Amino acid sequence: MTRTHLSYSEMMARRFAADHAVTRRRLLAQGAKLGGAFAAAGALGRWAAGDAAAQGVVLREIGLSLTEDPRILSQFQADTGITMEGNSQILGNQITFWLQNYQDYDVNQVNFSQNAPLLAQEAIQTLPVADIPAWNDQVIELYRVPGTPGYSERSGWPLAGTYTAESIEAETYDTFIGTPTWFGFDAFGYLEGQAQGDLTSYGAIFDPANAGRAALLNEPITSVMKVATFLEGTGQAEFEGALNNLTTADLATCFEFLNELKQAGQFRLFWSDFGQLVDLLVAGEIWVGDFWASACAAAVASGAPAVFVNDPAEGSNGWIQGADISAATEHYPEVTTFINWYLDSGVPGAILGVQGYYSPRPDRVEPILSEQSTTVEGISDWDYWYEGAVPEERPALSERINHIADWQAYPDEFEEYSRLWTAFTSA
Amino acid sequence: MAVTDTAQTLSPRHPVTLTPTSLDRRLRARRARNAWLLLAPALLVVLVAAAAPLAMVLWVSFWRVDGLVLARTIDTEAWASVLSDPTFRRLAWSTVQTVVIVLALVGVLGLAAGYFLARFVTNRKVQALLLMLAILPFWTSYLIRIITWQPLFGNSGVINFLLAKAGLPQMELFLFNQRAMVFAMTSLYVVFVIGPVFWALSRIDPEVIAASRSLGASAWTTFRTVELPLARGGLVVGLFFASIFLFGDYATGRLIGGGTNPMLSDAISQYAGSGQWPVAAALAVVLFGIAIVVLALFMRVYDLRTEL
Repeated sequence: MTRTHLSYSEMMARRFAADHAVTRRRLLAQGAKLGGAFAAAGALGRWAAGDAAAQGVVLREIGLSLTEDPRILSQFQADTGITMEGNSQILGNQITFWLQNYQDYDVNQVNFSQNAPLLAQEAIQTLPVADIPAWNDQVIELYRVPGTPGYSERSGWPLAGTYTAESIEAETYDTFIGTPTWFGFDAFGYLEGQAQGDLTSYGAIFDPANAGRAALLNEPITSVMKVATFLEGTGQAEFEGALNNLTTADLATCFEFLNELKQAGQFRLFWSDFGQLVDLLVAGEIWVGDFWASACAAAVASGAPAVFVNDPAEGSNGWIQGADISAATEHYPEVTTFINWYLDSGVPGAILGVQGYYSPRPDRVEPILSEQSTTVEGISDWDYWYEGAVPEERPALSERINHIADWQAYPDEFEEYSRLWTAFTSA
Repeated sequence: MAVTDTAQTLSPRHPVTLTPTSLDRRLRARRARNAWLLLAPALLVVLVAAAAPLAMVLWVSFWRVDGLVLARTIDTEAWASVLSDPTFRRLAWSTVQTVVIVLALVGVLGLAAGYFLARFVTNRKVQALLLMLAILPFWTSYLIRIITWQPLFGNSGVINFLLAKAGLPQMELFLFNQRAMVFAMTSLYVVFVIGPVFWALSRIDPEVIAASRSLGASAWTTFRTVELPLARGGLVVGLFFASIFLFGDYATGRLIGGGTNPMLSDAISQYAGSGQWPVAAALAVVLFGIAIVVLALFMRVYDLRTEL
C-alpha cells in the first residue's frame, strides 16, 4: 500500500488550521464554563482554573525554542489569564544561564540530564507531586512504577531523574525534582543512498565504509552515551557503570575506541546545533551521525533523504524534558498552575507530538491529535505519532518503550567525561 | 621649569603670600586634580567594564567544583589541571599557531589590498567605492557570512559544481579542518587591515615617494624602505583590531573548522556552558595572557602611542 506523505506546505497549512480548530474548541469550552455550564464544558474545561488572584500575573521561563513556542504560551494565557514570558536558549547555554539568572525566572524547561547540578546548587526547588493534580494515575506508567518497560534497573531512570532520592528510597514517589512535561528517544540518523553498512545499528556511525562522512554532537554526555550503548549492545565491552553514568575505567574504553576512529579519519566534524545540523544534512556534507529526529524531519522537509532510526538494534537513549521550578520564584501557585496546564490541557503535547515527541499524559493529547491529520493522508496524527499506524516509519510508543538502552543523565564523573572529550576533539 | 619662572616673576608683587614653591604646588595640584577629573569617567568605565570582570574571572579560576556544587573558595585545583593537562597545552599552542598564521595572512593580504587601493586606483570615487565593497560584508551578521561558506566550498557548493562540470575531481579543502578555519578567519578579518593600511599609505606625501624614485630606488625598494615604514602604524592598528576578534572567535572553529581543531576560546565556551566555571576561568586567564603577549609584541614593532 502506498502512503501519501503530505508535502511540507500542505503539512504546514493543515497544522495551522488544526491549531486554530484547537483554539476555537477551547474558547467554546471556556465560554460554556464562564456561563456556569461546567458540565457542558466537560474535560476541556478543567484546566481553566479561573483563579481570580492569578489573573495578570507574569511568569518568566527559559527553555528550548520548541518549548517556548508562542502557540503554547499564548494558549496558556488564554486559558488561565496568567502570562508566561518565554526566553529561548540553546541546550549548551542552559546551565550557565540558569545559574546566573534564576533569581529573575520562575521556570526552567530543561533536559533532566541537567537536574543534578541545578538541584545541588540550589538553583531549583523540589515540589510535592500533589501540587500537580494532572500527575495522577493517567500518567504513563513509565514515570510512576519501577520495573515497568523502559525502566532502567541499572540507573534507576527515568524515576531517578524525576523524583528526589529520598522519595525513591521511601518508595513514596511523592516529591519531584522537576515535573516531566515531554520526552523522547534519541538514536541516530543517516542520508539514504549515501550511508553504507548496517543502518539499523549505531555501528553505521563508526563503520569505515562511512569514514570521513560521520559526525557526532560536540557534547560529551549524549555522544559518549551513544558510544557506550553501541559498544555494550554489540558485546564489544561490558561496563561497570550504567550507560548514563560510566566509571573512569569505562570512559577509558570508550575514548580508546573514539580516538582510534578519529585518527583514522572517521569523523568529518562535530556539530553543535539544530540549524547547523539541518544545513549539513541538506548539503549532504555528512551521511551518518547522532542526528536528532526533529533535525532529520526538518531536513526531509527541505528535500534531503534523511532517515531517523527510531530504535537501533542496541537500543535508544531516552530523555526527559520537564519544568524545574526556580528556587527564587515568588509565584509558586501560578507556576504549578502552569505545569499542571502543560500536562492537562494537551495543547503543548499536541504541538510537540507532531514534531515527534511524547507527553507523559497521552490521554490528554489523544482528543486533539485524533481530530487532525497533518502528516500522512488519511491517517490521524494520533495514529501516526503515538499508535504506530506506519510502524516501519514510526513505531508505537508502547513498542518503543521496550527498546530503551538507558536515559540521558548527568554522570558522577562528568569532569572526566568533559576532559576526555576535549582531548578527543582537539587531538 | 616654566611654572617656577612665571612664579618668580610674579613673586615680587606678592612677596609674602605667594612664594614660588606654594604657587608651584597649587598649580601642580590643580593640574593633577583636573587631570583626574578628566580621566574619571573613562577610568570608571574601564574599572566597571574591564578591571572588575577580569578580577572576577581570576577569582572564579580559584573556585572548585565540589561534586555538583561550585565552591567559592581559594583553591588551585583548576589551575593544576589546566597547567598539567597536555590537552590544554595543545589547545594553547594551536591557538597561538592559528592566531600567528591568520595575522600573517591578514597582514600580507591587507597590505597588498591597501597598497592597491592607495597606489593603483587614482580616482577618489572608485577608491571609496572599492573600500566600501570591502567593508560591505560586515554590514551583514557574522553568522550569515560564515554560513555562506558552505554553499561556496561545500560538497554540493559552487566550486565543486564547477569542478565537476569541468570534469575535475571534487575537493574538500575548505571545510571542516584547520586549513578551512584559517582561510575563513583570514577572509573575515582582513578588512580590519585594508582600511588602516590604505589610510596610512594615503597620508604619505607623494613628494617623498617621488624623491625616492628620482634618487634611483625601484618601486620595490621605495615600498620597502619608505612606504612600509611610514605605513607601519596602519598595519599594526589593523592587526591589533583583527587580533581582538580573533582571540575570542570560537564560532568559526565550530562552523567551518567543524569542531575538529578547537582553540582556547572554544574550550572556554564548552567548559563555561557545562558549569565547570573554574577551568573555564583559568583558561580565560591563559588566553588573556597570550593576548597581552601578542599585543605587547605589536607595540614593540610600532608604538601605537606615537600615533595618538
